[in-house]
Amino acid sequence: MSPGWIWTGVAIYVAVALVAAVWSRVGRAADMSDYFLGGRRMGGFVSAMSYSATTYSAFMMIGLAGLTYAGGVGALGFELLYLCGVTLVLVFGPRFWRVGKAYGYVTPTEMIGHRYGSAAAGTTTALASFVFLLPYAAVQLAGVGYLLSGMTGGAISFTAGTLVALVLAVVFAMIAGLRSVAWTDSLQSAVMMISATLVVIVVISQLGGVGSFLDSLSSDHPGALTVPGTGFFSFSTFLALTLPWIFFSISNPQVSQRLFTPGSMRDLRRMLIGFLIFGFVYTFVAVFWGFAARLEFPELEAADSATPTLLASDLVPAPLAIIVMIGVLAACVSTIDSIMLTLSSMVSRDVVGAARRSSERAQLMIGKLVIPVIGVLAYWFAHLQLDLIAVLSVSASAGLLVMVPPIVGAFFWRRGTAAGVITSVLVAGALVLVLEFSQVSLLGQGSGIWGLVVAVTIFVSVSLATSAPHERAAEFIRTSARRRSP
Amino acid sequence: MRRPETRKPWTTWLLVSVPVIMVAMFVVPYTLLREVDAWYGSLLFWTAGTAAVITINVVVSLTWENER
Repeated sequence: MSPGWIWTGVAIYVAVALVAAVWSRVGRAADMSDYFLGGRRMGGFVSAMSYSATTYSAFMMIGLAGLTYAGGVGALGFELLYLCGVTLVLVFGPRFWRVGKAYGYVTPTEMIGHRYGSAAAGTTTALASFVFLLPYAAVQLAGVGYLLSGMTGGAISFTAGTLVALVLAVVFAMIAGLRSVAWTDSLQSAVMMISATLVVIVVISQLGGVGSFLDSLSSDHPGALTVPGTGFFSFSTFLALTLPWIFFSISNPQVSQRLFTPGSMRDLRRMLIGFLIFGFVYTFVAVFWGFAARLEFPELEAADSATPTLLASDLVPAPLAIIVMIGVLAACVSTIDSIMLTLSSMVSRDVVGAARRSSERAQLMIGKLVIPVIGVLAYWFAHLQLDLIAVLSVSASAGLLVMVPPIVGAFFWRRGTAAGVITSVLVAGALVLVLEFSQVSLLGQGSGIWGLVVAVTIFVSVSLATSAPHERAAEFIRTSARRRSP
Repeated sequence: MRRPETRKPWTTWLLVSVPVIMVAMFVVPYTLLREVDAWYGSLLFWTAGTAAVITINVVVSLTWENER
């Protein structure tokens, strides 16, 4: 695979994306809402495409494909259950959106701080988000670095690959905040979807069509279409993988923040439904890709090499392989720039902004400056040992589960208190980190399950033992349920 | 004009059925479909379950008023 062709492809992608990013600017952003939330006026279609690109990362075509390769159809079940979990947006979306408009929240952690009457609660949840999301961003960079260097036999080094992704993410984020991120996301999700769908269609037709494809799986690979199948997807493995992802839409701030951004409920609905349809199709594409690799290259040692191996094979014409690689690069960049944007907004709003009173302009300036800093941190993380990255990325999605009780409690339980939020997040978060680092498995269950159980228990019991901000809670809940004028 | 959200009973039933479908998506493949090693086993079940959930999302969100 000639590096020259790859760089050409990347250059074209960058040029088009930069045009989209610059074009999305509508003048200098005046304040935090304008920069980080697109002025709360984002349209439905762009929001849906952006939500899709933000959610679906390099994980899909590399990681999920690899999971399918190793474990079979259980990977489909896991990913589809996550998609079903996005129904949480149906319940929480309108509520987030209403309170965001009413109280001017920029970040979900600011919302928690205000709802529980405690800046410390906002800061704690913001810091927890930071701890768990930064490694998640880093593993994206690492994934892209390995893919590009693997495909070119090292001609594009790991460092070069990660640098390209990082620089693109920082630039797309900084040009116009959420607007440039959302527009480049839309472009990137189109590239992701089109490239992946095309390549799967090509590969399956070369393998004899869908019917023979599925029959071969049944006959030649017993267990590939069942769970636990060949044994990879034991029930506890399945549960441990699936549970953190079911709550993704409210536990992960880079997507829950998006609930503040639509211009109207109609735009919110379009964002939700557009994403569900995108996700449904993209999931099948990634899983079938993994199955194709299984059929064609059944003897691979590492599941993560399923995608690069299949891409480099005769089944995929070289130009298409390059487009798919760019699709994976796009998936990675679109996820990272959203994470960076969200984390920057939290640092400036909930950490610095909470510690000292600062104007919107000052917060915005800090927010923009923090973006490249976070980028550098993610880059540094990505260059640590691989083992560490894998551990951190699993603990990321599990760790963020501790955000769920405070968020659910915010809208549905008047009795929740700031002390409950702070203690549950700190203790359960620490527990997840400890379990992941020590690789200890309690009763054979994953860290996320324990994290959630402990978080709920502590949140409820500490809240009941401390005094709740009754007036604030009542007003907040009333506002979240009260329809705004059409 | 602001007024509290009046929940239509049927939308509540639809919402409640989503976690039910999701629990089935955990239980059924590991029990009833455990030995069905073909596309019409767990693959079809999970697909159908998700399609149902997406449909519920479409239907319920269509009842939203277009607040601004």
